[in-house]
Amino acid sequence: MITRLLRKSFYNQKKAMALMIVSIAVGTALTASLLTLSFEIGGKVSKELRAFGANILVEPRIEGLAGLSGLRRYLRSEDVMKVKTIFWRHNILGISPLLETDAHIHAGDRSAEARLIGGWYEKELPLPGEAGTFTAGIKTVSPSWSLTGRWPADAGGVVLGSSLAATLGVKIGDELLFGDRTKKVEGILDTGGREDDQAFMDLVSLQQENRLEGKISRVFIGALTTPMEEFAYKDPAVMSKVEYEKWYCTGYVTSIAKQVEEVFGNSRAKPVWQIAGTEGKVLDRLKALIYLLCGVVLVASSIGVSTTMIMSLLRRIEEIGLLKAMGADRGKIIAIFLSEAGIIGLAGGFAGYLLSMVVSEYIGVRVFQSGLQQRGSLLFIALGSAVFIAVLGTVLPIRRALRIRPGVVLKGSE
Amino acid sequence: MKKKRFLHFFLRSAAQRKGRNLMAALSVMLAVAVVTGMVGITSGVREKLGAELRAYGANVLVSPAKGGSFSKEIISRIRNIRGVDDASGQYFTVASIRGHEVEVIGLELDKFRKMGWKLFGRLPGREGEMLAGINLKTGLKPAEGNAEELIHGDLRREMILSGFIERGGPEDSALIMSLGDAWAVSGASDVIDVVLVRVSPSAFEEAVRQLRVTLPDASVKSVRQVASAEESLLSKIRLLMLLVTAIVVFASSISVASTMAANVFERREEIGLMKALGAKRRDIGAFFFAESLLIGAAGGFFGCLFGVAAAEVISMGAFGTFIRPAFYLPAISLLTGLLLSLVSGYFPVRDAMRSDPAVILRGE
Repeated sequence: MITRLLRKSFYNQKKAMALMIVSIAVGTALTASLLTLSFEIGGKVSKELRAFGANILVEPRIEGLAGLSGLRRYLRSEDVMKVKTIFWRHNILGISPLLETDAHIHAGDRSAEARLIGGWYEKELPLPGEAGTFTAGIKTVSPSWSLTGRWPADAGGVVLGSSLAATLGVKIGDELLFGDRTKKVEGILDTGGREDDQAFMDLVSLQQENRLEGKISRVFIGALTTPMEEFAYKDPAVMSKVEYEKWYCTGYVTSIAKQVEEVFGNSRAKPVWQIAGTEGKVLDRLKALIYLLCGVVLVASSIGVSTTMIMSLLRRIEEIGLLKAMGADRGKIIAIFLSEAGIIGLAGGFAGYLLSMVVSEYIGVRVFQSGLQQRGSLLFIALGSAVFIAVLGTVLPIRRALRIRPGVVLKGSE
Repeated sequence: MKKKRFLHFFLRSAAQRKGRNLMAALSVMLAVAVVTGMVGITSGVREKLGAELRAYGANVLVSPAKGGSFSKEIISRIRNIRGVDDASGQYFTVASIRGHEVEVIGLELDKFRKMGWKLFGRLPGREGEMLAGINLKTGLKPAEGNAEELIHGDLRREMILSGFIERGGPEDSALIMSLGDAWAVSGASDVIDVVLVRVSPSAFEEAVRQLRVTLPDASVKSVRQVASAEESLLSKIRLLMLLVTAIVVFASSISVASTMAANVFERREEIGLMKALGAKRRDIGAFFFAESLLIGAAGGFFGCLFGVAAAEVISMGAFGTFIRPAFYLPAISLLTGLLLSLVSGYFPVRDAMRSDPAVILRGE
């Protein structure tokens, strides 16, 4: 009896039912997309935030004041790629080792004292202990610096910061005298920072020229990190064993820095606080924003479904009156409405889930240039919330339907 | 139909159908509230996130173009330029401490909290106190709180160490103190080597241009890293919000359309009767137009209130502060309400008017 009634009801109100399913589907799709987004927004935005620059700096450990002046201290080149062997190696997105020297530069009758820095721009290196390569270099930690021309591959070429090039009055292709060595300007680097007053060249060539084979002055590292929590700011030295373990095994910027420090001989790795501290705050805010939007969308779509349901009921008052006149009791009426809602909810939820895969993929590609990972478990959440919304939407209509007096309705005066 | 009779009809109908009209107005209101809320949040999110991103530091550096230094008046001149949120000066010199030469940075210590550097110990509270970079810690131990003598040429000055800072940059090997103390150490007065300027991302280009015009002797450089990363992140978030808004608008217009359609559908008989009694298409059109207008306006008005409230709740939850609602929000709400109710009312009314009154009135 009920099945026949249901079939009839769906058949007779194709348009209204389709509309309800669509509205539930869209609501569910939106909620599921936002949830998918919320799982990944941390990672995606973290990657975006890497454009602000490195968040970990590794320097030689300095004991006493002597290290500051006179005696230079260095890190070892061979330790650089060991960074990709630490526990959080997959979170390391950029590595840029630099060797700093001072140079006296002549260009015709102009001259300048400047820092001459050896580094890689984009260099493929084999991963230690694994197959595959990793791209390291300045570009990987500071992608927004703009290089015109190209990065020199050997000792004969040099890149000048934009201010330094202006001071010396040279352009790409000109030749300069670094001490007694002639070098050709192959590129101009514009950063807006102190790098604009510096000169750059290939790391290995600079090491050889200065008899500093295998030595580097500092390493910048860009890592994906977990936002710092209150407890992560505690000094690791005074943490309890449990706390220390939790800290060490979470990807906080401080714990990643600690692990980096462990693979570099005689080093000190520090978070670049300006970058690391802000990142956590920005991420927390964005996540909260997405969750709140989820809530608003859910509420809005359930109210929308409810109004649609009530409107559909109003059309069927006579039908319900007839049912009652023919002896349908409260249970039957409730059963009819609930099973209708159930069917609509399941259909809408399933369609919504499929739709959400498209929507979240589109949002991911449009906004972050890469798709979002779809989760099968969301199907159950989608179905559950869709049925919940649909059933919630029938509460008012059911109450209305139970109050219908068949005599009045069928006479047509309601 | 005469005006008076039209009004009579209209008011009677509105009074009789209170419930249904209320329902329609509610669904319009909901849609408008969602749209208003989303637009409100989208317009506010830029400002809010921009404020967070401010901690990434200055996005413009102003330094003397031909060497030398500025007088300190330049800071207030820069602050007065439109689009400049903040500006602070720094002065660099060197001094020798315990026989080793170190860099000395003088800066506005009241800006310290905003710079995001990590502080161990406390900020200098009065003249003659300084901070040291974390790299100096082993060398100066256990001098925290003790006086250190700084020597610059013939000048000697006793400074008390109040704490250490860690920034993850060259500052970690320097001494940090107030501008006044740094001037006293080197015997200079009222000079600035660089001004760190924070320009709001929305007015970036214009403010940089203004800075260049106002300060012809200075080199004005945008810190590419901060400026471009900021712009790129903010525009991405904005795009995200716009996409979500578009989908939400779509979802809520479906609900409005279905409600309005049902509202009209029920009244096919009424329309049939009107036609049978000789009402012209124009009259019926005007009748439903007026009704939609009323529903749309009511929905738009209340939707605006609820939408702004929702935007404030979200902003409070996500950013901890209220947003200033954009002045155009009420206009958007009202327009959305009217547009939604008129468009979604139009098609069912047109269908109803096309049908034959005789068929409808017979109840088929």
